[in-house]
Amino acid sequence: MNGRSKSSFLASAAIFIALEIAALAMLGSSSTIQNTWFNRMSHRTASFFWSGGQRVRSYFSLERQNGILAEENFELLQKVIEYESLLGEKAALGEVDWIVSDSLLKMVPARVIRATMDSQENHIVIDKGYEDGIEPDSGIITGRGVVGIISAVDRHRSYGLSFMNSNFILSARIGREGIIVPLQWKGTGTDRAVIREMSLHNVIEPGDTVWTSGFSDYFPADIPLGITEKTSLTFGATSEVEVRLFQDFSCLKYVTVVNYER
Amino acid sequence: MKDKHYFLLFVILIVIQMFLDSFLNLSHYLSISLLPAMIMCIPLRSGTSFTLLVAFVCGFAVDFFEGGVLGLTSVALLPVALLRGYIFRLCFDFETISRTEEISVRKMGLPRLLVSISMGLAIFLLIYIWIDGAGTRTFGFNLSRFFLSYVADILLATVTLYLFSAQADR
Repeated sequence: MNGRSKSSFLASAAIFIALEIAALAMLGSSSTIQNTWFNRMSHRTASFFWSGGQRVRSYFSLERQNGILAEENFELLQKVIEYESLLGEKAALGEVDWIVSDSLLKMVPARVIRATMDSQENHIVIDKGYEDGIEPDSGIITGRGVVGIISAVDRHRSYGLSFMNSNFILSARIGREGIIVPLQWKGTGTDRAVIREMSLHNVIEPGDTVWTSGFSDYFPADIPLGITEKTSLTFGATSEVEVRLFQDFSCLKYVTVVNYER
Repeated sequence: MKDKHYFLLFVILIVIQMFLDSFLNLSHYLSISLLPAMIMCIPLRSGTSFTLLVAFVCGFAVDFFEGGVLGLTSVALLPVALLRGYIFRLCFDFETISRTEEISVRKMGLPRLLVSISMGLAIFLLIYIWIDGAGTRTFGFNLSRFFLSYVADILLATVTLYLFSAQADR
């Protein structure tokens, strides 16, 4: 291909790409069906590549993940033993009935394909969809806390709002019997949250555990979230409490999707 | 002068296309379009860049005046304009293409011209039907629509080809 025909070919290609993009943009803005279809196709293509990249990253962090999973297994085993002994005691006393929960909790394990952390409105993509039993508006948790809420579901992919999103506010409780507070991501860091606009008469000690309150439509009560740290005064009128989360979002690999029906 | 006649013929055919889209809705399985044949019949002396611009404008005009989905026809027509040169090189030898400036049945022969136009038409219909369906229609429906539209449009393309040939042979 000589120089002239090469430049002519490049010019034609550039014009084609520009006009095709313009036509696709017009198509996307003038038709909801095509727009939805484009978005679905682009998400499927993107999640295919994210999934591949995540597999590579997971391969190189297997040892660390195994350690985390082993710790979680141990904690769960301890809880199971504790509940079984509690159930035994209650059954002996004839008080079994109150242990039967009146809520239905459906759980689906999933793997994180993508969890963004670089903006103020982060989102999460997992490898399960409606064919795997995932429903929109389900909570995403791990053994270390709340991760997000499912917002959109594809066949084998689900997209969710991450806890690391400025629009995500979680109803939490300080201590087992303490006050109900709104917990949200601090805006920086991958394991930092904050309780804002606390009244000054509420004194929060550092080291208190923060739990889900149970007043949310997405998460059951008593999921541990983090530990309170320092309290600071805001504009002299309210206080702000920093919380160190148990879940570090920078190493989020395996999650559980909960469909919590009250 | 010849270019003016080509331009006039183009405009008339686009108006006919708009009438066909607006008033002739025979079936969901039929997509009648003169545009791929028109793009393929643009004189060879016009470069690919010009053909791309014409394809974009024609597609936009048809969608705009017919009240259809803006951009749909252009998205399907632009690949035809881009690949037009390659299709002709595939169907004709280098000498024929270098000697011929305008599409003419007399100079290039009807069978090969129909083959090349049908390839352009197939590309257009594949993209158009796929995007128009947007994942909401079954493969069977799309396939039936493709074949029925292809048969109908080939007949119209033959008429279009003769109209442009008449211009070229003047």
